[in-house]
Amino acid sequence: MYGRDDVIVANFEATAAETFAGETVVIHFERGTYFSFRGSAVLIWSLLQTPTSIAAVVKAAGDALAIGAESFEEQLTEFVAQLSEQGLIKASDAMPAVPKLTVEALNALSEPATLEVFGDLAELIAMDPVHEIDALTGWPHLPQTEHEA
Amino acid sequence: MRSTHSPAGRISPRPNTRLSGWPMDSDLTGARVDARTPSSDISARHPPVSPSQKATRPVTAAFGAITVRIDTWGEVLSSVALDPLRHAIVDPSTPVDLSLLMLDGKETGIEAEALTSVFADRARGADIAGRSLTLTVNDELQTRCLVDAARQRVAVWFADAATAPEWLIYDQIRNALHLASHDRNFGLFHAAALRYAGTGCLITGKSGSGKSTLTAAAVTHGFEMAGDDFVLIETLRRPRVHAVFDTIKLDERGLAKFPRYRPFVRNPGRGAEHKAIVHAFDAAPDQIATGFSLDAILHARLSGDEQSRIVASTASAAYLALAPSTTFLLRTRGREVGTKCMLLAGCLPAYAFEIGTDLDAAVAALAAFMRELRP
Repeated sequence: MYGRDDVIVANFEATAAETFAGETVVIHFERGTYFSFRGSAVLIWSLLQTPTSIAAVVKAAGDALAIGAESFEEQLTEFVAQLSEQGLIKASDAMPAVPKLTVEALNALSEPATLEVFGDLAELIAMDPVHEIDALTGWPHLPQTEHEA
Repeated sequence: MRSTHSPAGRISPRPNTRLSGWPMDSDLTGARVDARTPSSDISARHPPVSPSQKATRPVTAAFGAITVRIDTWGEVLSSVALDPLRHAIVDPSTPVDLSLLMLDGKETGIEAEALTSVFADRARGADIAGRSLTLTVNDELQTRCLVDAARQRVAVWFADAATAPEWLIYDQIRNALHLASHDRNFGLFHAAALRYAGTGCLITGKSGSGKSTLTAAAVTHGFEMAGDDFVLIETLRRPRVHAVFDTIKLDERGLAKFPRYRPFVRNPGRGAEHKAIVHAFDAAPDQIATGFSLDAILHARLSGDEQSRIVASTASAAYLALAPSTTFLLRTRGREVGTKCMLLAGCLPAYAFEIGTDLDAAVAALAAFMRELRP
């Protein structure tokens, strides 16, 4: 769960995303889940490609949103919580970017953020017994990162 | 670690055989297993095939842009791994992009250490000609896979291929092709591919969406197939699909519906939870297409209605049906796989194929659609 001023960014290492007309599809490799983003979720996901914060996005939107700044922040906070729960974003040490939003972007942000979650392939990941061994200590030791985890 | 096994009547390498100079065209230190010696210990799970059905090993197989040399050490592996590829076998003198060596530990007496020790030497700093090796260990299914990505060579060891599920053996070939597809304009995709009336269609959809059964039905109605589960596609302006495996998978209801396949079932001793495997090369040799251009992508789902229908859809829907399962099943380089799926979904017209309960009617709907779509 991230607060208003926490700097967050898309979890690039674990995800791949493609945007089509009006929809972004995101795949989470590690969890075996995938997602359909619609409405303002498409734009919010694009804003999260660089480190930013809820406060920075709300500041960029200013008072220009049809739904009002307070409602927007509430909606954005809820959406960020969803992204966090699904492992789609992570904390960043970078300075938060205040995005520049066009009129079209401001209009888009006034729409509801829709995140559809698909978990039907998660079992493919859960059943995967394959793992690589540690490069230094050799078989049958697991990689260092797994030791640490 | 299990004890060394030495089938009677064959030359057996020493226990803990080292792969000297691996991977040097599959030449193991010690001795080679004589593939001509009749096998006496193959389990009922993978019954031996007749000599006329058998591919001679090693083989060179071409899948469009990629050519692979596959050497199998063990009768069971030769049958299970190479028989689905007979449509793709080319002149052995053809230059290859990748070499795949598959070893059956039980039949050959070669233990897992043969691969793991090569990797351990590298881990200890031994100079193995500067190669970057990756070892993948599967404890549950008892396999080891050693990959030399720079030289495009792969060696896979199975503890006992006779008891290994077919998909595990197919997976090794699929993984090798996936390795070879890195940074190239082709890739593997989780889909079936059919051609009819000069039109090629990719049928996507998660497992259980009806791809395999539809493919089996379509073949009985004169369609050509390039695969019912995984296919290789060159991501050209007009994408071109190539058959990798010629398998058709059917459950008991499918076998009852299409009895022409029953004499060709290759896994009669399968459990009730496993599908029957039939090779198109045996059951419908004229209908296994080595490659054709694609004109549309259909994302399939079982509708539950009697009738089927095919309606225009979107690229994002096609991507959603294609990319996640392809990405997760291939397991590595997900971003690259996702990008290739996006390219494919973006360059082909997309349709939703709602498959009804009347399978013949579903195939008729597909035939009418493909005739209409003829380029």
